[in-house]
Amino acid sequence: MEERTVRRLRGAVALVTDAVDAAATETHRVHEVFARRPYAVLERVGPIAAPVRAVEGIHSAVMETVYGSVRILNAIVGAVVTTAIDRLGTGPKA
Amino acid sequence: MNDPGNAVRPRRSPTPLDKGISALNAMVGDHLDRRGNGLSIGMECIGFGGPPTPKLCVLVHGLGCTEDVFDFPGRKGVSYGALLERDLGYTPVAVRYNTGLAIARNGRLLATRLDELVAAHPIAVEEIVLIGHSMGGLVAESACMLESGWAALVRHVVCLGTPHEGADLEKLTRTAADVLGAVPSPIARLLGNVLNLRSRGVKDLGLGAAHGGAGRAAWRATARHTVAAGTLTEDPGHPVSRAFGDALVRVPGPETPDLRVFPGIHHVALAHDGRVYEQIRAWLGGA
Repeated sequence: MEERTVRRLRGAVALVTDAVDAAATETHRVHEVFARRPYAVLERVGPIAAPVRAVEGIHSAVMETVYGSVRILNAIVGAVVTTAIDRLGTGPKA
Repeated sequence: MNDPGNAVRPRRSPTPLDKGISALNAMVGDHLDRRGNGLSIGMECIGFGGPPTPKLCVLVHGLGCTEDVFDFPGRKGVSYGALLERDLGYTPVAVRYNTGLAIARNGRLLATRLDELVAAHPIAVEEIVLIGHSMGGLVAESACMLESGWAALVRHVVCLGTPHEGADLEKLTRTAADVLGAVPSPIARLLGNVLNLRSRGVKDLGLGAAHGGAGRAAWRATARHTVAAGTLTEDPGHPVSRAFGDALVRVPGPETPDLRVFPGIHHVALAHDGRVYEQIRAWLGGA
């Protein structure tokens, strides 16, 4: 494979990885804002405020895990595909 | 004789992939450059393959384009560069670059490339003409403002559809992004953030000649500066032409020196039109 083609393919993978990461981060941020709203209302009800905060904590942890997993998986897939492109690039020329 | 080395690469028509990458650079080219992404276009000079002459004509394309924007549609091998080579003996050189970078940065890169080009040219360069389409005009002007050896050789800068007073579409986008960012809603803020992803090069177009932040500098005394503008309708006074100019850039004010308006020629067509070429030829002294 031509050096320029390898460079472009690596660039395309990096760009897609950046885009997925940025989209996951922004979606996470917006999701947090919306998810906070019902908890904010329920927390005003004195007797259930403590359990509501506990449930919100669990919810937030689950969200962190899900969005974090998306970002980690995205980085791993990006690295694997980039390595595969590098191998193809250094292979015998067609 | 100097070795042309890597100063100029031979011309080959850009592929659809090349054009797609140029468009991508226009949108997020500053991000690609910052990340060292292989899709970022490094500025390069492209030769037309003719015999070298002491007169260089440098063609600088606009946002998201490639050097083929100067090719006349349906007329193979005909472009402003090729015609100026035939009619006036210029050696044409086109520039391809990452249009998503700040205009001032592209100006500095162009100055460096032209330094290399002049040094590597097989015969002594006596005259340089810069022809910039749209953003290319601002990049060419920005390069000329720098103190480089070659800048003293510049005799003429021709700007075609260049948004010296700022591009209205970018101004509108900036306002929309600001408004969305100020709305207390996460969705509006998200949309504002998406709009703000546009490249620094695009944002600079909204500022026009003031892109460097210091306003318009005094023009180089040794070079003539001419501007060609288009309008959507045959009547430049028509409300549509007054409001939208050539579709993307409005006709500059009458205080612009050496302004020529081409009625009925839209923004992109300014880069490959016979009437515009005749004017360029006349400006360069070949009429």
